[in-house]
Amino acid sequence: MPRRFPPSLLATALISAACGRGPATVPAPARMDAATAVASFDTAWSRIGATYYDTTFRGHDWRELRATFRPLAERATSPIEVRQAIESLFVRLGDSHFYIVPGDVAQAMRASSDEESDRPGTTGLEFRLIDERLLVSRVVPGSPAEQAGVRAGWEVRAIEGVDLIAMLAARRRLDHARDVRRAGLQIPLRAESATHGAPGGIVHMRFRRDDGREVQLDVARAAFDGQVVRYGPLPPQYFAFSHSRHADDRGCVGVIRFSVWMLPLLPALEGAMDELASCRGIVLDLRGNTGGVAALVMGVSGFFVDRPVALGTLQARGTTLRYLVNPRRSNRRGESVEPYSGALAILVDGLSASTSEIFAEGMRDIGRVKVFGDTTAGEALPATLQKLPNGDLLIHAIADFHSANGARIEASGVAPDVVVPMTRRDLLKGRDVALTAALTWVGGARVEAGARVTQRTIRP
Amino acid sequence: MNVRRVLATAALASVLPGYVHAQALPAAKDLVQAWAKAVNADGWKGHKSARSTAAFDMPAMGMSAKMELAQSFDPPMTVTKIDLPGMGEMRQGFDGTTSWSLNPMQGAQVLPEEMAAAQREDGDPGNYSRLSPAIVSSETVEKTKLNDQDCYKVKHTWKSGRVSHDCFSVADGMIVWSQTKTATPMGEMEVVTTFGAYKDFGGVKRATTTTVEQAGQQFIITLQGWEWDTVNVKEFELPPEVKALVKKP
Repeated sequence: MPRRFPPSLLATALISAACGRGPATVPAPARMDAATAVASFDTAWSRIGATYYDTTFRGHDWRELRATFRPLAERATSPIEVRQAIESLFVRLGDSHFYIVPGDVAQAMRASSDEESDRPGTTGLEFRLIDERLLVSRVVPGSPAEQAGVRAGWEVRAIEGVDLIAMLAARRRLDHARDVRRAGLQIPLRAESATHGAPGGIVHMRFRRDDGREVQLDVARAAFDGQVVRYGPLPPQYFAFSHSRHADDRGCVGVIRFSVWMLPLLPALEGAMDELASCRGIVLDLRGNTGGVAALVMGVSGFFVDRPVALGTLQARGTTLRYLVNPRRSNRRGESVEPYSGALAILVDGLSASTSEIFAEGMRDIGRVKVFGDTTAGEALPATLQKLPNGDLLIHAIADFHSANGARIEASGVAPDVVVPMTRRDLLKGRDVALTAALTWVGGARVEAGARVTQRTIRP
Repeated sequence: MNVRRVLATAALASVLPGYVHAQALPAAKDLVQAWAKAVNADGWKGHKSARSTAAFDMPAMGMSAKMELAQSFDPPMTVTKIDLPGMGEMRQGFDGTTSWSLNPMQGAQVLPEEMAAAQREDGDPGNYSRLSPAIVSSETVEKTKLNDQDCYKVKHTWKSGRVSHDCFSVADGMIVWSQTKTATPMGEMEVVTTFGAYKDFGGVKRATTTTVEQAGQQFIITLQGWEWDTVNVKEFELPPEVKALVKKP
């Protein structure tokens, strides 16, 4: 057996995902015995204590924190109370990428995604929090939501199973900018997850239309038009990938969009680049992309960068590793190719998180892209997983990340070169102003987002 | 010196004052020779190739995979495959000239020369004995306790300039722990390995369980099978994606 292993193995274990997108199932809370509760708390405390990149623990005495919060686990009678005890540790560190995925939820989600030929259902809706209101930010063309008449820009007033009013009110009560920003990331994702489930199921929703009238709509779910991806014990993730070719009299510009950084990405990207290689510019649309497997930035950047430069460094305890571009000079058919050298833009917004942020900032730092859109989530720490004795999954940050120019994205996010925030007015008018701006820049002249478009979507 | 004499020396040293204790450490040469003999490190001689199979686990991630390593001895060539469910196959190899890797995250890569050198070193079966010319000096640096086992830590300086440490069990002379720093395209990485449950595989004693720790991650490799001379040289051929990367002269 070899004594040394490829760094990709280490990189494999690093996830960088702010939140996942997957089918939502919330089983009833169970009871928990005291020994398991304490063992789960102790495992979480030990694991974080052994791996957290800041050995000062943000100025806290780690042992003292254990003494403070362990009694909560000792008194816990339910998994929720154990999680609250562990989450008390997270709060003291203040970083992103400290989460608990309830074991029963992860299990139920895995089981539900095994049904229906591994294809859960979606309504085709995406949401954003804009001006303190939850708005429909995208209606997938041809989706049940579009057929039901839902339009981008409508305000979401209620989704079955989600107490939106309470969530928005709770966010308004937050006084720490970091917490406000995180809630702004989590509320739309939570709302979106609530619309997922078995194909054929109905989601009851209430909207406020552009004319101010409230409408109640029952939207059916259709089978998800993409791949459901499993990564270790994590709940299944939705991987959607599409690319479009915008033709004009000077040739073409391309748009590539993918939902998460998961392992089908490289082959999908290779297929897209085969079709877009002749285009004079490409837009990578990372809006709403919450991250995934961090190591993928090395392969993806290689499609667009012709030298092995570092996009940034991750600093774990005693180790500094670089996210090094691997220029793509061959394809799966064994043919020699060259990385794409045309103009490249990246689109981001407040729901672009984690690996998306690492990629966007790194690519900008090396001078390869221009970034358009809105400031990103500011959740960019490499993390890993630990199964806890109670079956929950602990996701915990193990490294700090600095981009090629030394910028720390955590807490601040990636500020675009060209700020084009999403507004309700634009959504209602069906305008994608950020995409138009990016297309125009990569195209060297005005390119209409909707003109002569050929779009392809990955099918499982 | 055999293991029994090493143990006797260690027992004597334990009753002497500290400054003498340091002098009484067993010589690295004796520890290494005892190890090489005990595991039958030369058992590979007379064979052309070996194939080993193992279970590869990342316990924190709840991931398990199958792992296979094929190696040729002359010329030294290796290919390692780890098939992670849901992730695809991660491959790394050395065909005597080119060190390469191919995985679902980074794609195909020809690795830098220092990694080719490391692969040559790893692929040389003579290095298992720690008596090969690739190690220019070995020195016993301390008696210590690692993973609840008393052991003698030996520092090896390799011809390549690399420094590594092995810890030889006081109880049975087996290597129970190793540490090295290795260059990777992502940067230098410290790798700490613990070995356990030595068993006979193809006439050579090897650790059944190898636990690798690097940058806060842990991989556990459980050796399951060993075969001599079943490897076809074609197995070391570069995958098409890598072949296209190798510049023609």
